[in-house]
Amino acid sequence: MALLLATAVLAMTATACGNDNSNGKAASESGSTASPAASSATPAKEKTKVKFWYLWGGVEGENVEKLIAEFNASQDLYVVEGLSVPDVQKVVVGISSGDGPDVTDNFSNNTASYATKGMLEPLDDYIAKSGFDTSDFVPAALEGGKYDGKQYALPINVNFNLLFYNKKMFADAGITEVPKTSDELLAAAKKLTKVNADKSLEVLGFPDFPFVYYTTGMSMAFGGSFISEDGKTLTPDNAGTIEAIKTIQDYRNEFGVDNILKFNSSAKYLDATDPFILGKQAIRIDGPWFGNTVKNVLQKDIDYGVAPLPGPAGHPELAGGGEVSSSTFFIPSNAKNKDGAWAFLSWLMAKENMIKFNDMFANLPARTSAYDDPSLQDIPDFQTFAEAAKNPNLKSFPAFEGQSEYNKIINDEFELAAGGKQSAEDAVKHMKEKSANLLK
Amino acid sequence: MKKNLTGLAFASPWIVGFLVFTLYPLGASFYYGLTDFNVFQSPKFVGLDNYSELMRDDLFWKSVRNTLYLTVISTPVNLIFSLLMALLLNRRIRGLSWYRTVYYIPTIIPLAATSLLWMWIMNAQYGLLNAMLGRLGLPQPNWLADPALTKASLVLMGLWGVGNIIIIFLASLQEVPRSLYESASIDGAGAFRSFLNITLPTISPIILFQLIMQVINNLQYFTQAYFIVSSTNLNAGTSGGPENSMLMYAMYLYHNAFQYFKMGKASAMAWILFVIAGAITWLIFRSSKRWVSYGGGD
Repeated sequence: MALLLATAVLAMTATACGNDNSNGKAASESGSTASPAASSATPAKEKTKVKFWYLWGGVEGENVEKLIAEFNASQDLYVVEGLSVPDVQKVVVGISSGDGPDVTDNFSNNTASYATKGMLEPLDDYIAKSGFDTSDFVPAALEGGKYDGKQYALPINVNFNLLFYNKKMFADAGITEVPKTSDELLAAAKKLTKVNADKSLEVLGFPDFPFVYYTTGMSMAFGGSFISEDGKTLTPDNAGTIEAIKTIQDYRNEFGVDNILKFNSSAKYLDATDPFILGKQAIRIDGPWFGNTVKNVLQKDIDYGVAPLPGPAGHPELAGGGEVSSSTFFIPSNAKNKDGAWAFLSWLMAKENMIKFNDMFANLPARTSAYDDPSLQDIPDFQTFAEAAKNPNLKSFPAFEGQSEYNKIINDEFELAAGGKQSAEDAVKHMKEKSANLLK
Repeated sequence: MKKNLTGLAFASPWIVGFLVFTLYPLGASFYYGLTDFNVFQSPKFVGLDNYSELMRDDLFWKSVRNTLYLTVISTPVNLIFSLLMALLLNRRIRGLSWYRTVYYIPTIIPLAATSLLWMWIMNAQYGLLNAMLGRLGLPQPNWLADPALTKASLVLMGLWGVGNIIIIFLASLQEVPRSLYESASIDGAGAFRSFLNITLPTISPIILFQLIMQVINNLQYFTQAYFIVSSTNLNAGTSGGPENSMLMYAMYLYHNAFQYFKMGKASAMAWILFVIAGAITWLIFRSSKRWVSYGGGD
């Protein structure tokens, strides 16, 4: 009896504990609406804290801290406390417990998923109230912070890939023109590939590594779109995806899937075994950071050129396309110091600070008005990317709650097809079937 | 009554710990398994939807197949290999303690470091293993990139870290009464005969224990596969390795919980795994009556 009683009491305390947690969360949420009001009512008395968690670590983290220090020096209302949390899950769990950051960074491909969960504070009112100017943002990048018509996050940079090619290898193979269509890409890649006596690859001629840059990126470069114009139907069965699959299948058939997989799996991206950096890859799809990594970080002397990704044959109006994404910053909906968070966020997103940020990270700023700034010109290939960023054919991956599942389905079926396990037509059919219920 | 209370008071740290940290989360996860829950919004009751969604989910079945494959291959391989090693380490040879230490050392190394090391050993073009195979004129397989081989590679990797199993076998081997071997040898039994009729029956309870632990560990296989996949794939978040061949059950559970924020689906997966592990353990226990001997009796 006593045991029963004791267990019952303990069970109650346990459930009380459980309730306590959720109460705590609710309290902190209501507290969050109260505190900014309080802080704005009593200005200059004491600086209020703004918790800023960022995903960068190491040297990049130190760079972020420099910017934080600069912001704090300029402030008499707020003081930002930076914390490097290089693990997205930790940030998410922190926010869900109500004890997370006031402002943090993420990626544009998570905006929709986070927004539908009520995790993000809409920024439209803050933007309107403070007269924050977004007119010079790259439209696709700004779009990456939007969901359902609201601006939930702001992009600090623009990421998309261009074609990097080894000039010496091109000259040696007698190729004078950079490939502009899938046919030209295939023809050049076959000429550029070098095979060892045992059929293993000495030089990879095709942008097969890193594979994930090829799948959705080349599908979009070949004019494909993964969602219908009206945003109501997922269209993985587009002509661009089929063309991207067929092109890689053709290349892999010529040299053997196993040989290419062996080559790819032995290589590590931006590492000592990266084939482009070793001079063993002739054509590479990569982003604005690539040149800086090769030349300044790894200090390799490779004579390479940069060009737009090949487009679909016979459609010059679709040339220069590809997939755009961004690093974004947002304010969690349960942040305790939202005004402070916006003060820091809008400071960081102002043109001169965005330039400082991108100069440190060798990235392309999200504001096109920054592209002439002298301090950015010494970033390798900066102007090439700046020019390419203006191309209207750059598109984002469709933004909706299930987009990471959608992306996974596309990549999985693409991989099977590229590995010779199914035809391009079957691959897109399977993508279509498996993603049928994702868009609710 | 008072005695009971005093007893309870002494046991209360455990009771509280059990209720708060085991029973409550257990119950909560069962409840969440019946809800649509994304950590941020409050859970919405959906009945058995998560379970029926899983039944229709190709990746779920893929992860089940991968995990069962690994469990069925890896468990006996690990146990037999460890027992053989323990038998060797139980012999009176020079430098015995040195050998024992050497075979135990890999167990101390963090799994992430072990995985990284083996990724280099198994690297298809620059790896030690293929270099050796190449020198012997043997084929050089694509260990970690060929979907047909990735799980076999994990099994091979696993053999390196069986120090714990070896130690327990070794301890049990030393418990076998020497007198039994002596009388067997007087009766004319050879080494193999003694092993079959004395060693195996005597250590069979330990084999049972190790078998169950191995099965449970393999069903929860996560770290090495996750580490290898995430350090070879730029798209690491939701990748399951080449053609999802390394998508283990626990990994897919993790993806659902922390990549897709489908806590309900992840909780349902946890309960399915719990039931599967329970059923397998029960089957092993039932069969053990036939092959495990606890000495004495008849």
